[in-house]
Amino acid sequence: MTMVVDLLAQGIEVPPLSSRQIAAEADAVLAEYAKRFGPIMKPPIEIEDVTTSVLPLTFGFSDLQSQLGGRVHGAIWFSRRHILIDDALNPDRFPDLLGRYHFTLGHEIAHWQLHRFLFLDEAGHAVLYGDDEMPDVICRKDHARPLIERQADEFAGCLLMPEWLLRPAWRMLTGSDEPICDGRLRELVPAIEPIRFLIDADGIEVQPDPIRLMREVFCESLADQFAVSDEAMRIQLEYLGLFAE
Amino acid sequence: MKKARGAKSFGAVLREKRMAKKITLRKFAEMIGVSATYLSQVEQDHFAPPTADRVTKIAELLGEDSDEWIRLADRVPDDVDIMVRQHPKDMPELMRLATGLSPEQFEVIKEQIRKMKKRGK
Repeated sequence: MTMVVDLLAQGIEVPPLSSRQIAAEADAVLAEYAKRFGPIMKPPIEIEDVTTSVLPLTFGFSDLQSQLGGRVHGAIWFSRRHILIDDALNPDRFPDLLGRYHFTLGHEIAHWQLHRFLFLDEAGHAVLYGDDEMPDVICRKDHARPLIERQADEFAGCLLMPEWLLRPAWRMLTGSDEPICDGRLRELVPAIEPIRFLIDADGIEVQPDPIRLMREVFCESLADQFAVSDEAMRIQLEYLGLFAE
Repeated sequence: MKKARGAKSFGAVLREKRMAKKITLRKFAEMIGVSATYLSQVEQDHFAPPTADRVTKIAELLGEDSDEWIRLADRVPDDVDIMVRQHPKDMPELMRLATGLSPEQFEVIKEQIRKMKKRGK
């Protein structure tokens, strides 16, 4: 999943962050969660509790695609500390999209954790002149990937699938800590009916990449455990180097 | 019933008490038979409090007084609703007559009713 943000028009440059810094930011949030509810022993991460009980945020659902234009998944108002998720991702209405809803919420949390200082002063007041009714960041599904969105995606991956939970789950699945190469996956993954992957969750026809498909089928059970999409799980496992060519 | 100025909302109290018990949102949602998303919206006061029977269950699970929580949720207890339906004329009239009485006067009336019921048995 890729997202674009309406930030470039505001001329904001995002400082670079290393993967280690982003993972540490996500772990810090999870450590706060553990302080309140006890150690996190197993997935999934309770992202709603993270949003409203650990962080000072509220969130709701709205028809963002009508209000802000097509293919919007989420938006955040920093000074209001409020996140809106598009109705099309409401898991009570579309249970199959639970994973994508979790990732979108994690992505908006990332903007709060990593990027709010660009929008708010120390007292929490907006530093940019703008329309208060409009969100500070609007996240759309698109092919372009500015740095701010890549950082938010990476943070969401680390928050929902922290390495210290994912590696043991990988070991349970594969019986080893080692990566699995595509050659071995071909032996393990049954023949895939490609038709089921031709239409994505936005109803857009896509040409599936056979390697990605195979990897996503292999990690389906992990995706279910962590309550994320197969795609998000595959990307996180690739990020950890657990899928090899 | 109108909440006192500055009083916390149903959702805020629910989250505070749930967190004090260290029960996660998803776990608590399972315990009361709703989705985590729905419960999170109730806690944020984006949705109205649940039905009276569910509020009762919430209060019981949190070790709280269910009548207090039903009042906080602006709900009418199910048994009161049934009683009013069984006596559609007398019950509302009784409640109207009792409006404005002091706690002490309520105690006198309740004691009278208890005696009447005892004699009636």
